Amino acid sequence: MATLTRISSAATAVRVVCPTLDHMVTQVRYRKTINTRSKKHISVIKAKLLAVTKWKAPQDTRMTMAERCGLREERMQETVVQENPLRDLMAKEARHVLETSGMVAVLHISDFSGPDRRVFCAKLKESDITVRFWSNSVAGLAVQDTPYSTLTTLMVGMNMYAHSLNPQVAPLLKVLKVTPQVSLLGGLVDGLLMSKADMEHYAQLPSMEQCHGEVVSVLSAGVSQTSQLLQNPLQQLSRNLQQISSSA
Amino acid sequence: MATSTERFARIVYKNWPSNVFNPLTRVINKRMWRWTSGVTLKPTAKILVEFDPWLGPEKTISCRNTVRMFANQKARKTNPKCEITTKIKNDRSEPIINIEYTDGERLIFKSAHLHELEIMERYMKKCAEKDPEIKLPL
Repeated sequence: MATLTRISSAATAVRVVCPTLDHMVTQVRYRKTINTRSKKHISVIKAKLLAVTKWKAPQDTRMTMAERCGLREERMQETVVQENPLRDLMAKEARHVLETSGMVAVLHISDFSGPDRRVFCAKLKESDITVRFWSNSVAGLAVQDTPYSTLTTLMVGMNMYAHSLNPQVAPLLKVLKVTPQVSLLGGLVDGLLMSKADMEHYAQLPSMEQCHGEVVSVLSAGVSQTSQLLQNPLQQLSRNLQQISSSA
Repeated sequence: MATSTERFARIVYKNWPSNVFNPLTRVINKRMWRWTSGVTLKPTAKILVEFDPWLGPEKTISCRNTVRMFANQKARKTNPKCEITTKIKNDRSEPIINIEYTDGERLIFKSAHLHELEIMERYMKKCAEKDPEIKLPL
């Protein structure tokens, strides 16, 4: 709290009102020169007032050109899939076909319609192969959450799908040789994703029964050989005894 | 007519639905329609298209669409003698479109990063040089 000091001369005394003390006490500056150059500390109240009333620049909500162009790509990637119940139904049907058939072959076609297409479908029908057409969006939806989702790499352009209960790769390839407008891209055979070359190799493999027979013969070859070796000396002995008895 | 692929940028299977419902397809399809209606095979003798379908949809889409445009019934009627063959490879190599003209001249497109419209534009310009009767669509 400021106290009144002795005033030596009236000329030098300067009365300063102190606002914090409710104008009750006055501070007297008595020095020769009054210091006005060095900075005075701002009081707390004044500092708070200045902080509250400080000017803030208004936010610039305009987008830069770069941001606008960048946003377009993001928006293109975030396109919302509109609900289409017909497409969902077709995808459900396609998924059922994918799960129940032993072979689903993806065929690439270029302007294949009319009598050529009908003849092609009829030839495949003889071997119990059905040819269906699904658009890429429907086929992609059908394959999306299955373990065969890699098939979406083939779903570009115009595709037809040949499916059958049992894998009938050889008849399919036979018919495709005769139709140049259609080409085989790959497919799903016996739960395995195959390329064209794999399917051609699969067609050349022997039937399951033949393979079973070959395996059985290989396994039993060792057993039959050991039994033959064991029986050989006895057979030899019996032959020799027979010869002796006949000569005698 | 655009010459750079940026104008035909398409997002194919980065996020699956977006390529199917790409807003740019409408713009592209209008131009495609104009070019597909005027495709001629008169000066060509052979077209061989080789691609590996398992390489990826982004690289094979343009090659497959050009085959569709060449093998169109209207285009085939212009020259029934022209042989169009597709060869499907299994070695993850880039797609190639090999066009052989009747003079013996060859035009090879490495179509991995080309759009089908660019391929058709280049092909038709070459055809127009050989046969002055062929008119290019505007």
